[in-house]
Amino acid sequence: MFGAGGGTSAYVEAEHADLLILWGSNARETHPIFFHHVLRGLGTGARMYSVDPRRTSTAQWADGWLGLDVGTDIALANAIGREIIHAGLVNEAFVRGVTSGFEDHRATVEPYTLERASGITRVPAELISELAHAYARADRAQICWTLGITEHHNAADHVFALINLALLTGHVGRYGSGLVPLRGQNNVQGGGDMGAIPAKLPGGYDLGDDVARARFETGWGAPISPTPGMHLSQMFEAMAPTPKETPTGTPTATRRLRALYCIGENPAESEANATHARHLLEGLDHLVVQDIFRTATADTADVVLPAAADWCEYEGTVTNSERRVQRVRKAIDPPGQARPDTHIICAIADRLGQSWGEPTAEQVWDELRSLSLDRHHGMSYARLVEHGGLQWPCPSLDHPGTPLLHARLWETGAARGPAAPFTPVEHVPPADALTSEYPIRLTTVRVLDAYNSGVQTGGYASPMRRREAPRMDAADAAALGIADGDRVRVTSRRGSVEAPVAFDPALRPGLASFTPHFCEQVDVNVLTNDAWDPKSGTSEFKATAVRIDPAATTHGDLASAQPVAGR
Amino acid sequence: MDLRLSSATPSAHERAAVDAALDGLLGAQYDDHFVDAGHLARGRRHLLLPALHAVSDAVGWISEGALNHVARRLCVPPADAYRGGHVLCHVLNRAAAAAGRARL
Repeated sequence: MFGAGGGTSAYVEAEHADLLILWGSNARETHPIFFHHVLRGLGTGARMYSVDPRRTSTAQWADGWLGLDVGTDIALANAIGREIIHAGLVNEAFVRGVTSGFEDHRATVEPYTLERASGITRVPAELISELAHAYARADRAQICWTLGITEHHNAADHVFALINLALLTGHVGRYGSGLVPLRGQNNVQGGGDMGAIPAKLPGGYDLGDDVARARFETGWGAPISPTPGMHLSQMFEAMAPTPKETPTGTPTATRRLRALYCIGENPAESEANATHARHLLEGLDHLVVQDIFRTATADTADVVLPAAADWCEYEGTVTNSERRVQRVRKAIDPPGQARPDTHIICAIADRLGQSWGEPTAEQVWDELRSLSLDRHHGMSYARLVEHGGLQWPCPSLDHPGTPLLHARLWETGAARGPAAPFTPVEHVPPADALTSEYPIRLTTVRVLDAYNSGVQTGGYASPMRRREAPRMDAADAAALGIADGDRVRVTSRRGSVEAPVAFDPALRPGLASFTPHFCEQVDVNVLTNDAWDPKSGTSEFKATAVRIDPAATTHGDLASAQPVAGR
Repeated sequence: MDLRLSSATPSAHERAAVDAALDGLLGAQYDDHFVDAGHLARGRRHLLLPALHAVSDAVGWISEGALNHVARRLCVPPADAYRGGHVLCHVLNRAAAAAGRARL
């Protein structure tokens, strides 16, 4: 945000905030380290609101729960903004001195009255007003979010809606006040920082930044295109055959992407609309999978490269959601032929006629430091150890790191830097509409002791582990003649799965949930929608329209059993 | 508050006794979907006493299912509610013994 792809605050600030809003985030289970800081804050009097369609284990700690309908977050945020404006609670000095675009934002939120927003979100108007006043009046307040905000077809607009609230109130750039995106995985921040975002160079530089790009070209001894590459959703679109007329008039089909090198990703199970995704993967001319286990994706590959589990079998770094880079140390040797990812990549480069050798993890890191001058230059391995990790930006070896980002917004004169823009956004409902044929909203959720498609967590037992089941409201089930534990068929516009159902009081009528963790039991992403956000590339995992019926059959899952790594 | 409840459920009689005692004190009827939480809920553990007392008066003892219902309504971990129930039973037993009545 404001030009930096990272959260504004250090985790510890949650302990000293007056108000915490966890929006689309069940941090109690999915960010347990951060939530320990939240608990400390609650212990010293901080108030917490949970904005979530489910009454999660996070909401069980909250002073207020805004149980909105899935995908109505922007309407809710705009109504909160409107209420803040109408109540005279805008931080006028901050808005006037630091931001731009306020009048457009005011005009956009004006139609979102409490009553209208309540009608869209199904959150009581008085609760929306209560949160607006609590947020605007707090001395120090944070908005923290996770995948409940970012897995929508308009994910970036969801984020802008929350940023707008922080700009209205000045809750950004000050200790205890901030915008905290809690990432969907432990090293999402690090992956993005290292250049895994197609429009970015390592260190967060835009590809269009000529100065930065020239530095990387010099360092790497190769030209770099200023045109962004494809993100994951675009890659899958490019795998699909595109009809094309030949000079002879004979129709044919071409695919813009015909070979894929897949490292540490299991798209055969983790992609939305998985049946379609598998079909595209199977249509590739060549698929290389590099992973720590034989995943479902590896099962369709032409070549499988066994990789070490770098978090314990090799050295490196990890960057968490407070932008803190930490050392990762080798504890055990990798099994069999497994090798560290960097060694495999360098060996391939050598076979392609380059001469990359086999650099150590520290040598790779130091190369990054030599190019990412603003964020990482001051983060030597020795300093990372000495300080227990450092938060970027850390531009020099005597720099202490930056726990609090965008403090410049509270400076005066030139030190304040460019204005922080409001980005007016409108509510747009989920792409997968509810109808009489598909009347129930299915949302994907995560649990404490499992991870993504289960590649890394399926191999060990957990006392909390439960069989995967569609979870739904007991009253909804009763109306359908379904008892707890009955086998049901869940059908979306893309496919169907069968599994025993479980009732869950955290889910209101009309809402159901699945986890994505146990695809060998329930092939969840056969159901989900691959509509994706043009700004972020994220698919709309959070909002699928489904029908739930008693299953006619009593035998095993209809979904084909996918091979699952580690099990 | 983290609530890890067992699968035990209260009888209709136990549930009615707890709800009758707490509805007025909490100012709301029980709704499975909307259990209270937050500072307000964490500040009324003292209501364990009337809730557990109500169960004890109604059925003569405190079952695991009843304890779960009390824990859920008051947003108190069942281990803490159990500890409260243990103390309450001890006090009630002493009171009953002093009055020459049957022990719980």
